Order: sequence, then structure tokens, then C-alpha cells
Amino acid sequence: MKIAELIFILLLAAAAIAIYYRSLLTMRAARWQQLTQEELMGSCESIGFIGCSIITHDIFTIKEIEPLLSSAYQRYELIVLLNGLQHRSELLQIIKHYHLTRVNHTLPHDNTSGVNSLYRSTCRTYRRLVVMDCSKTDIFSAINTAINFASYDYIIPLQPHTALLPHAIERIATTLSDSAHRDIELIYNDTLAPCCVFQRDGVISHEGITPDIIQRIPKKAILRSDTALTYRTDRQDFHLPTLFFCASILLLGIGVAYFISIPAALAYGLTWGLATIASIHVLRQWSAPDCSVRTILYQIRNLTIFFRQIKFNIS
Amino acid sequence: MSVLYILYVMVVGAMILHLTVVSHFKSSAHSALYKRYTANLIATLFNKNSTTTIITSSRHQRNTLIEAIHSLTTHTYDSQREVIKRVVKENNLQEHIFRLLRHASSLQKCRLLTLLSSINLENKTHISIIKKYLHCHNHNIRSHALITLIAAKPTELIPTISSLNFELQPTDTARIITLIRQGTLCVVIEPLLESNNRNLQMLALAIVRSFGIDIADKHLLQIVASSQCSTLVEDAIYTLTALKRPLKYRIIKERLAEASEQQRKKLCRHLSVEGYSIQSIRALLSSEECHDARLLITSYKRQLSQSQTP
Repeated sequence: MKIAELIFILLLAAAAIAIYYRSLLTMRAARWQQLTQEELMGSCESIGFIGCSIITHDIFTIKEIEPLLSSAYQRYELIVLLNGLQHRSELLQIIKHYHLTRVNHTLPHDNTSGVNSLYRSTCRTYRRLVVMDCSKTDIFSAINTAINFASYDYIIPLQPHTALLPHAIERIATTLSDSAHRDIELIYNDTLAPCCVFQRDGVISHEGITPDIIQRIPKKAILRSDTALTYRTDRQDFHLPTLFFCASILLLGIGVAYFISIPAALAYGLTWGLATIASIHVLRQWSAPDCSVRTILYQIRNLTIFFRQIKFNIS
Repeated sequence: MSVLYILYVMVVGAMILHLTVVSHFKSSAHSALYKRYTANLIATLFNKNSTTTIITSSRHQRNTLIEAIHSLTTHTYDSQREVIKRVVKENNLQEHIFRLLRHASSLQKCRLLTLLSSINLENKTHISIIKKYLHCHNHNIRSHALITLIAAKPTELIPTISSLNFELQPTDTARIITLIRQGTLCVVIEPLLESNNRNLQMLALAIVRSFGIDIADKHLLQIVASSQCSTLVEDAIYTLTALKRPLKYRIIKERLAEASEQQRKKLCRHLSVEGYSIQSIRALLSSEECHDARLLITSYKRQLSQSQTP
């Protein structure tokens, strides 16, 4: 029993160190970003000609599109994928609000491309917005079609109900402009919400965006960043798998610890306290607009980041 | 076993304490003091003859005062240097930062060097210490030391940059442009463009782009024609596009032929975003390479034959 207790304490200590280390990493990244942002604020040019095209889908309201258009960075655009047949009234509303006009595209008007129409705004204020009426049901192939119309070299497929943090594009450009990062094909971060920044040519060479694209990119071409880029906006929506994951870890751990000894159970509880506080600390560091229980649970789940493989999920 | 538990509780307790109480206390006390110092500095700047003095007594207060000075100088154009100098001297802030620099981590060093760039460094010993950081193995520290040095001696921009033994990154040039926009630095562009130093030319190209200096055409074409550095040639071509200049010159086509396929594709997309016609892109690149550009350029145009509603 003594050996089991010793192993249990060592495991808890490893978990506590990992949690604390991750908090320090994000704290350091947040401070570094704050420092560089202040310095680069006065320069009006896009850093190293880095441009980003954000591709998003399943957003139907102006309220959801507006925050994605608010970045002050010069070289970025937003491509919204919508199925005009299923969501006709929403598409009409967006067209009216942003003064969109149908533009040409050379892809065939059939099922292979899936593109029904492409819209850009006649109003200069909204020059960064592109709306693609696409009838494809598979979201990955719709995104791959949208890449054809993307103007810039880096692609950010964004999940619905996700928004960019202020200065997120500037952060990406600062990171990518460094000559040491010239061959990076993917920047991955899931500090507040999962976010992938793909290099366009990398995506094309790996035959487009697919659920297992990250596994196909060489590890040396992946940069795991501690800098938060996006956050979730659907704070009311409680994510059951995350809740189930956290609850099962908590209950299983308490059960095992209680079986070993009562002090072990208390030590386990203390580690959970550290995990919760570390999660809140990370959210505060990035001034996350959403500090709901759901986000805190997501943060706790993220503490296992050192031990799991990163995945690309868009739905 | 109980010793292990006690040790574990103590260590985890210390971690929790650091993440909650210390961080929270630090940030709230810091922000209150920061606001007070900023307000006092603004009041002093508005009234130059004011006798109000800002006196700091602790290390934390000095740090906060330097941050307030830095924030003020970065957010204002050509601030009253004499007033800031007086506040710095009264509180012995230069010595304080140099004391901290000795034992700081790399991130802290960058922060302290940035703060030093807002303070007029005149002491030769201090400047020689900063010069030592230019040879540091960490690029971030080197870069911040360079900015501090340029801010301290703006007239020696050319010798400082030409003596560097590392290549300037786009973030470095952006920081120098920030200094120009703040009024700390005055630059004459011709000597930079005519120089044979790669770093000076990179800086010149960034300045030309940032301020839209359209008289630099001749120099840009000269760089494209004569430079051996591929990054510099690429940057010069991109600068020409930023100025919306025609690219029909033979020398540009020749240099593009030497570039990699990926670089040519990137330029092709860039040209279409910058508003170049498909004809002018075709004059530079092959029709296969123009595929992406054609797709993009076509999508910028309205199809008159179709109705507007879906």
C-alpha cells in the first residue's frame, strides 16, 4: 500500500508541476505579447507582408460577423460560407446589410465545385468580407473550395461561435515574420479555444484541409504557440463532453485516492484546486471576455495538453 | 509518508498563492499607482513651470514610474524631453534600471531595455553596457538593445545599424519606424537606399513602404538589379508593388526567374491583391503560375449578366 501511495503522490506532483508550468508559459507569452504590441503599435505597415484569410461557416447573423471584421490589421480578409438554399433569408439580410454584390468566379456552377455565388461588398468599409454561397454539405470540402478565393498566404479556419482576440492577427504576423519561422506550416494554439493557422501552400501540398491534416504535417513544421488567438462566444452552451471528461477524472481520482488513504484524497482535492485557479489565472492573463464555468472546465481539460496529440476540429 | 504529504501541501500551496494572491495584489496595487503617476506626469507636461515633483521611495514605485513614462512617450508625439529628463534624474531611474538589468531574465531584459528607450541615455558607461547587449545570443535582447541605442543616439543610426552582426527582422524595422513616427528619430532616406549594407537597405525599404515615398523608384530598381541578397530583391519588388509602380522592367522579370516557385506564386497572389491587372502579371510570370491570380482577379469583378439576389 505504501508503494501505491508513493506512486500516487509522485503522479500528483507531476500533474501539479505540469499545471504550474503551463500557467507560467501562458503568463510569459501574455507578457511578451503585451510588450511587442506596445512597441509595434506605431508602425502602420503589415509586418513582413504576412496576410491571413479567415474562413468561417455556419454563422448567419450580422452580430456574429461584425467582431470578425473588427481587426485593424491591414492584410486580412474574412470568408463566410453559407448555404443560400437552406438559409435564404439570412443570406439576403447579410447581402442587404453589407451592400454585397455578386461577383464572377471561374469555378464551374455545378456539384463538383458546389459554389453557387460569390459576393463582395461595394462598400469600401467592408472590402475584407467575402460571402460564398456554397451548397456543399461536407464542411472540409467547402473550406477547400473557399481557399481558391483566399487572397493571403495563411488560412485560419474558424469554428462557429468563435471570435478573434484583439490583435490576434498582429500576433500571428509577428510570429511568422521571424526568419526562423519561415518554414512553419501550422501554428496551433488552444489556450482559450482551439485555433489553427495553416500555410496555404502547405495545405495544398497535403491535398487540402481534412480532419487528419495535422498528422500529415511534419512535426518540425508545426509551431505550438502559447499565445491565445481566439475565444468562444457561446457562453450559454454547456459542452457535455468536456463536463463529462472533467467529472470522470475528478470522481475516478477521488475514488482511487480514497481507497489509498484519506490524506491522498485531500492531496488530490488540492491538486484540483490548483488546476481551477491556474485555469482562471490563464483566462485573466489574456483578458478573456468569457470566464464562465464552461471555459474554466475547458481550461482544466487543456491541462492535459502535454500528454495528448493535437487534433483539428472545425464542426 | 506524512512528511511527503506536508511537503506536497506546502509546494502546491505556494503555487496557488503565487497564482492568486501575489499576482492579484501586484496587479491591483500596480494599476492604482500607475494611474496616479500617469496623471501627475500629464499635469507636469501640460504645465512646464509646475513645481510638482514626483518622488518615489521603493523599487516597485520606481518600476511603475518608468512604465508610466514609457507609456506616455509611446502614446505622444515629441513629448517634452526636458520635463521627463528632470523626473528621471530626480528619481535616479537610470541607475535603478541598470541595477535590475544585471540579474534579469531574458524577457525582463527586453522589457527593461524597452523602458530605457523612453529615457534619454547620456551616460557613456550606460551606452557601452547597452552596446554589449548587441552581441547577445538571444535575438530579442539584441533587437531591444538596438532600439534603445538608436533612441539614445538618433544621429548615429547609420553607424549603429551598419555595425550589426545580425540581420534585421521585419519586427525590428517596424520598431524603428515607430521611433520615427514618435519624432524620436529623423531619417534621410537616400543614404540608406544607396548604402551597400543589407540591414540599412532593408530599413530603407520598410520606411519607403510605410511612408509611401514615391521618389524612391530609381533606387528600388537599382537594388533589384544589383543586390546579391534574394530577401532584399524580394523586398524591393514588394516595395515597388506597395507604391503601385509598373513592373514591366526586364530586370524584374530576370530576377523573378531566379526565385523559387513558391516565392513566385506568393508574389502572383500579392500582385492581384494590390490591384495589378492579369495582363501585367502575365508579363512577369507564366500563365500556369497566373492561375491563382486569375481566379482572384476575376472574383473581384461584378457579373453584370446575373441578377443580384440569390
